[in-house]
Amino acid sequence: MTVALERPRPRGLLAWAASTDHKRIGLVTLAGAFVAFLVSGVLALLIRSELAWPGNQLLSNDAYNQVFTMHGSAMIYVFMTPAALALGIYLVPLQIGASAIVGPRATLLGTWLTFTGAFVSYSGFVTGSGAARDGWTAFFPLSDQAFSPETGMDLWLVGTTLTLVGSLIHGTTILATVLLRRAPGMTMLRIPVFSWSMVATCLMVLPSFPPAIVGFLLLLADRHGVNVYDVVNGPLEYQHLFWFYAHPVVYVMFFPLVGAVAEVVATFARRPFFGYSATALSLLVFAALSMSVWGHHMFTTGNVQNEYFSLTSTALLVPAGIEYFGIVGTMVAGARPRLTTAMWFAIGFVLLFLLGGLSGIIVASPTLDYHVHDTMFVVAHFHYTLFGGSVLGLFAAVYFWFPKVTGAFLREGLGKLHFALFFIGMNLTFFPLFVLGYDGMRRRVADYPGDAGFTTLNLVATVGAAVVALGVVVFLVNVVVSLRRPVPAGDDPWGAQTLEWWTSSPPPRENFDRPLPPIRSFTPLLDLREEEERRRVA
Amino acid sequence: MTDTRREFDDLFFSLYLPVMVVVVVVVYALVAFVLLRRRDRPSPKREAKVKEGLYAAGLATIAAVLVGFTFRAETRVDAVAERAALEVDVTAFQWGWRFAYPGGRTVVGTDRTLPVLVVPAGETVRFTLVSRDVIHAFFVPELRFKRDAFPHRPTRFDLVFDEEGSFPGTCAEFCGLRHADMRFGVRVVPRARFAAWLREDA
Repeated sequence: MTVALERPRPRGLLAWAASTDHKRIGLVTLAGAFVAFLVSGVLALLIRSELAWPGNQLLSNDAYNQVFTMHGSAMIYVFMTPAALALGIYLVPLQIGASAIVGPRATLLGTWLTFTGAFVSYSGFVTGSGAARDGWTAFFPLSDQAFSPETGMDLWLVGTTLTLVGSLIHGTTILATVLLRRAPGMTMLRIPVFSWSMVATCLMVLPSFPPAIVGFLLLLADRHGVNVYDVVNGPLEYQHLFWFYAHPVVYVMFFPLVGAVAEVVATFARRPFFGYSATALSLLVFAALSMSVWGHHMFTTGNVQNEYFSLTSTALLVPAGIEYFGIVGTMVAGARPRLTTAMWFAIGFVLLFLLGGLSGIIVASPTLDYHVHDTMFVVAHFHYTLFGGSVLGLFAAVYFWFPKVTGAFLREGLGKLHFALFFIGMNLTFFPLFVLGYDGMRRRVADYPGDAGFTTLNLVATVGAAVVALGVVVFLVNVVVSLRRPVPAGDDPWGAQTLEWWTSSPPPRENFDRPLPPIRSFTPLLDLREEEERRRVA
Repeated sequence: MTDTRREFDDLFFSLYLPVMVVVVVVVYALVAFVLLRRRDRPSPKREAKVKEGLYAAGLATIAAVLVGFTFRAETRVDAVAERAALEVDVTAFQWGWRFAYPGGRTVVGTDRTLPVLVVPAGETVRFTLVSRDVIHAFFVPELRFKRDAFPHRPTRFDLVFDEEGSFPGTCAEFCGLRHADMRFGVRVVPRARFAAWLREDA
């Protein structure tokens, strides 16, 4: 006989922070990541303000270096990676008809580690010598004790390592959930496109995060007397470990949003996603190839096989092109789309990620990269992928699933205003950087010569950043208004296709309060509606 | 002889940029078409395996063409001539440059002036680049070329400066506090004037 010990259930904030419900863990992770987005966004505004005119107006060189370092670090380690994984934590169990995530406590630990790490890393700002200032890359030997003696660098290494371990755990539990917890009938070729994107994402997390964790810990040891990288090849070896993680992570931050956009587009085009199996296959090919492209960040070192890495990197355009084929093909084969805010963000994703992806093909060519590497061109390139792609995709997901998560719609009017500000502001901010980089303006500089011809475009970029900031404010207002005066959404407000819309909004603790419908394809709810229609006609 | 700027321009303006523009126009036109047309019922079609296969083959062909031309250009850009007309040793350090010429002439900057790399026009110049501390990068935007400078690991490359004139050079790899100030000038002079300059005050 077992005796159940009654313990008081935690309430309030602790009920959220200590919950093993994957939905709460997912939301807490997303909320924490969003805080990092806001803080790093403020740092971005500082960067753009400093660069608006030549000369140092706002920040000293040293302050600027800390600001751009923490902007990039927090955006990548604490915002986009955890946010992308948080979508998986929340949605994957629902999409595959499971009642829980595999390893709920481990998943919760992952979230705690992620944000403990963020605190440790950010805490550099309150030390006497300031935060880390060696970029999100922390290249050796600049990051060695001799050149960066500050405590902030140690805190950055410890914090970033903790955050990476947290994300690694998340990747593990999400993958295990897809593999082990699918509902009866939910074969691997019937899981929704978003869940496929999470499978590919986790398959990249597992092999690519450990090298960075090891690389950072060795750097920490090196800074404290253990000579690891302090050999002739050391600086190169550090870069290999770093980029072996840091290229795949770009797709870790991106794939889940490809999946999210695919769901949004299919729903509002009112048809199943076009080319499902080709897209699933292309995601897997993409993930596999992504493990072999890291050296394209090292073309200008003159110390890697440039041809090899150029070949593998350029080859990525094949699976990427197939994913575009699927998304655009779904739109073309669909009905005239319902232009909800989520759909607008998805369209923005399609239009803007394209520029990021195509400029990625340019930097995959060593001859072209010799010129644009480490210039504003690269800054423009990865912001078109990460802002134009991932951030717009993330907001498509937020507007799409908000009714499911809260039971209430976000306001459409404010949402469209938010989209317009993001779309315009983003282009104003980052398109000029393509031109500036081509004209030879470097990245990671607090100042540029007044006679270099960089001033006008920098000013335009700064104005653009302010427009984006306004968009963030509109979004926050939208969330507050929509929660204060909720417009009830019901279980399936969009006429969607996958299982998370089968349950109530928000879903109960065990996810499904009624038996699942039969699962005969990756769009069980659509099948159900079509069946009903056939029955009505007959 | 490697004309790095021409290799960049040929590859970028004759191949990469046109391909990108075509792709952007096609995708944007499709999205505009979807938004503008009236169509109430979706097509029920779920897959088009043959079309997808052909499309993937088309993409692979594009990738192959891009990579092929890149390889050709890169071989020429990376080529090191058997004999160079001039050899310059470049040392990068926090936060400045030292250019050492044959015969003992060296150029370094001061607190107020940038160091100027003086080179003869139209000749192959062999650079041996190394860093004294952290990683830097030797970047001459005018030539569309940069190369990282590592400590203890000299790297060699050839450049040809075709046209006379003065233009900026910088450190492109973030190297700490005064990275933004780590600039240099490039002055390309006729061959005869260069020889005279080299003798000036070795």
